Formats: sequence, structure tokens, C-alpha cells
Amino acid sequence: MIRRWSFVLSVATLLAYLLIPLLINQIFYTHLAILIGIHAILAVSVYLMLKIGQLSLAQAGFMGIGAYASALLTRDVGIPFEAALLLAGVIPALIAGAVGPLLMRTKGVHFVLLTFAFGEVIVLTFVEWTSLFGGNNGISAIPPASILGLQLIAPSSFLILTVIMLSIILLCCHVAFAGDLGVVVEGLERNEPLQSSLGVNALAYRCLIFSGSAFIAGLSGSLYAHYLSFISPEAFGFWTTVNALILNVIGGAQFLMGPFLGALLLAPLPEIFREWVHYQRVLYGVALLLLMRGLPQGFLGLILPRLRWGNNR
Amino acid sequence: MLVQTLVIAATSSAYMMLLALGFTLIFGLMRIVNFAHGEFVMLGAYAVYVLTVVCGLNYFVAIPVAGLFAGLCGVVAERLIFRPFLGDELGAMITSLALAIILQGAVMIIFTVDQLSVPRPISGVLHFGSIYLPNDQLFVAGSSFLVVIAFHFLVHHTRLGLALRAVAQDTEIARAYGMAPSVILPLAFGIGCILAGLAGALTVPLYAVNPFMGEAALLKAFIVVVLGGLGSLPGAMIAAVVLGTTDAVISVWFSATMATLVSFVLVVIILIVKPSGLWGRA
Repeated sequence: MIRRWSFVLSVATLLAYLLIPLLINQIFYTHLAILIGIHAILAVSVYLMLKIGQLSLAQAGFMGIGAYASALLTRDVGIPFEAALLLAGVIPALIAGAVGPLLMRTKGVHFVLLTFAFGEVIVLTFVEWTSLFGGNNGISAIPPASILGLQLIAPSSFLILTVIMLSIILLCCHVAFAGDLGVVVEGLERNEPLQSSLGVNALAYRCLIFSGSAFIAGLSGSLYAHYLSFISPEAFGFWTTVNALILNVIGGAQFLMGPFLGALLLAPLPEIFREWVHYQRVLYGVALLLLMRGLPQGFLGLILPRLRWGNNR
Repeated sequence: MLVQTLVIAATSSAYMMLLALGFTLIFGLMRIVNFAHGEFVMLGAYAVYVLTVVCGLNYFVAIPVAGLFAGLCGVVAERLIFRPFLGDELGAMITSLALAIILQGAVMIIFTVDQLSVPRPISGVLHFGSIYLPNDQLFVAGSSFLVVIAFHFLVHHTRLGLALRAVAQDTEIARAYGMAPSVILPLAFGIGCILAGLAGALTVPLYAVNPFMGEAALLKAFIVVVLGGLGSLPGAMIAAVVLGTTDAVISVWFSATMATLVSFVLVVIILIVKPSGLWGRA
């Protein structure tokens, strides 16, 4: 019963999130909503890794790979946006699949440290490989998104695309985790030796999740690139991943809707209080500290029945 | 060229040692991956800026004061923030991220995001025949090694050091022998932060100061500590020399980015062969 209600509530929230900016019909609110969507998608990719009990700090790097891939493929190679969007997910997923078996041998702290270093390496590559990635100047004049020949120049049309992407991603995660995958993943987190003894290839499942999360991060990168039509390396650094992590913690890191709720609450703040950006950093930090102490399940933990806080040992 | 490269290697090894020893000490005793470690380096650097440029103090007096300031901040952070997260690695990690954000934000509010610089207190070069050695780099390398030797003495030849090592090995048994973790742990955190603060203070004249300088320092500390084995002090020292030397050689002959990439690849290879790091405990 609770499951069904939370599903209905989730769909209603998503619909409201799409319709309210469309009804207000002011560019500023549409802009906020698009940013929320892009941040939420990245946060979902962090959520997937948290689901297997690992914190990956390379997610913004994967977002960057998706953004650069999508931008360069549409602008310089001239492939259509739909294909570029798909490739923006596939390329980071392949890279994650290639390094996954190496990185995923480690767990916990070592994995965090390695993904941190890996993320830095990705950003460094963007900065240093100037001939391809344009260095610190980044890439500009990225063509706008277009679906089936329809150019999505108006922010409201881009918002629809963003919400559709977010909904598909959330739905896919929901369906995947409701089935066998969810059982296996939960089992891996609770008792990996037992799962392995039952013939589950733990490493393969971990790598699958890692690739999937890179795929999602790449999609958010593509949306980001085509919305702003300009990208530069610093947008994909360590702190972008940390922000996505904060969205999870604040929204509620063990709920699929947690990252979205976190984005809904936090992503608009930097745009609304532009003058106060520095104070906001301090505020973010303090909020994070207080939440870790007082409300480890995030805001969704207040509303929904208390669940096991998976990662606490 | 060879001798110059060696001096750069020594400077960079010594700097990495300072960064990594504090980081690994904190992890070894408390299992806390301190993502704010780079921010303590930044605190040391800004403290020197305030003491010398704003207050007009002598640079050489400012160095130890800056180190102690960072250490004091560390003790306060341990008592106020990290205490409830002992034994919760992920929670402590997120908490340290929060601390890093707060410190960065505070520095941005006070000093803005602009680059600040401290005038170089040491200039000139030493030259033997055809070999020229910059004095400021020699000073950084020399004083860092002195700090490392002092730290080594503290850990291996004092009662406090014995207590630190005992708590790192087994907190419960150390407690049974009368070593109170509630005293030892903040002290250890403070000592780790003093090392970080000194690293920042010593290198201020070489590099500029800005609120984002902590990230590069953190990356260096990470790579060294993972290579040496998390929590291992001798591992951190040896890994700092290995990585400092490769870093210097590759930076001189190719580029700094190449150096970072190579050290990353090195660390990944070693972790695959021996996941606990070169000198880590399993």
C-alpha cells in the first residue's frame, strides 16, 4: 500500500514539477526547473552507487565525458542530437565498464579515493588536451537540442525533454530495482560472501551498476551541454559530484526520489541568491553537518516510514 | 640539470610527506578519510598571509604560528564535528566534505576568491660551479624534512607517540591500559592538521593562495597515502619519496599533467597487485 502511494506521489510531484513552470511561463522559472532536472539526473547516478554501498567521486567526470562527447559529435561531426544523446550515455558507460573491473576490486575508502583520482584525471584530460577539448576555454557554440527535426530552442520545450529524461531514468531504476536486480544488489550489500556462494558474480553486478551510473551521468552531461551551449572543464570537477552527493543526503539517500527532492530543494538556491553564493557554501556545509547528525535519512525520511539506513555500520 | 631535478624532487617529496603523514595519521587512528585535509593546508597558507602581509610579522615566525593555528582548528573540528562518527566511515567522509565546504566558504567570505600572494622571504641561488640551486626551494625541502624528522621522533621516542601507536593498533586494549581515546584522538587529529598547516605555510611563497588550493593538496595526499597503504606512516614516507621523485622527473621532462596521470596509473597498478597498498595492513 505504502509503495503504491509513494509511486502515485512521485508521479504527481514530477507532473507538478513539469507543469508549474510551464503555467507560470517565465523564462527564469523554466530555467530553474531545467537546472533542477539536470542536477537531479546526476544525483540519481550517485544514488545508484550508494545503493551498492559505494561512494563514487568520478560521477561528475562521467557527466563531463557525456557533455564533451555530445557537444563535439553534434558540432564537429554533425550527427543528430538523438544519436549524440544516446552516445553521451554509452561512451561514459563503456569507459566505466573498462575501468570498473579494476576500480571495483577495491571497496569502501579505497574505492572513494580511486574514483576521486579518476575524476581528477578526466578533468585534467579536458584541460590539457587543448586541440580536442579546447582546454580551460572549453567548447562553445554547441548546437541546440532537436528531436525529430524539432529544434528545442525555447526553454519550455527543453524543460519537457529534461523532465521526460528524468522520468524515464527514475522509472527504469524503479523497475530494475523492483525485480531480481534489486534483490541481488540488496543481498550484495548485506552479505556478499553469502551471495557469492549462491553463484552471484559480485564483481560483475558491481560493474554493471557502475556502468549504469556512468550512463546516467553522461545523459545529464549531454542535457547540460546542449542547454547552456557552452561547457568548460571546471563544471565537471570534484565539487560537482560532492554537490550531487549533498542532494542525496538532504533528500534522503535510500529513496529513489531522494536525489530529485534534494535537487528540488537545493538546486535553485545559487540562481535565486546570486549575491550570496559564498554564504551559501557555508550554509550548505552547515546544513549537511546538521542533517548528518540529526536527520541521517534526509527529508524524505521524515515523511516516509522509517527504513533501515543501509550504509551505517 | 640532474641536480636541479633532484632538488625539485626533494622539495616535492618533502611537501608530499607533510601532506600524507597527517592524512594517514588521522586515518590510522580514527578511520576518518579527511576530505578537509586540503583545507587545513589552505588554513596554514592563509594564516601566513594574515600574519605577514596584514600584521607585518616576520615570515619565519609566522610559519610555526600558522601550523599551530591549523592544529588548533583540527582539535576543535575533531571534538565538535567528527566525534559522533567514529567507526562510521561513510558518515565521517560526508562530514569531512561538509567541513571542507564550510572552511572554503568562510575563506571566500573573508578573503574573496582572488589569488593572494606572500612576498618571497628568501631569494637568490646557491651555485656550485655550473649548478644553480634556488634558495627558496632548498628552504622548503630542508625545513619540511626537519618537521618530518621531528614528527618521527615524536611518534617513536615519546610517551605520546607510544600512545598514538597503541591506539592505532587496538583502541580497546589501549583504553584498557589507561590511554584515554578522548584525549589521544583530538591530539592526533591536531598533529595531523599541524603537519597540513605547515605544508601550506612553507609553500605559500612558492605558490599563490586561493580558496581552491586545497583540492590539489588533497589529491596529492590521497595518491601518496593509497600507494603507501592507508594508515601506514612508513608507507606514506616511502611513497612520498617515490611519487615526489617520479612527479618531479616527469614534470621537468614532460609536463605536470603527465606526471599526475603517471602517478595515478602507478597507484592503480599497485592497488591491483596489492590492494592494501605497499606497506598497508590488510
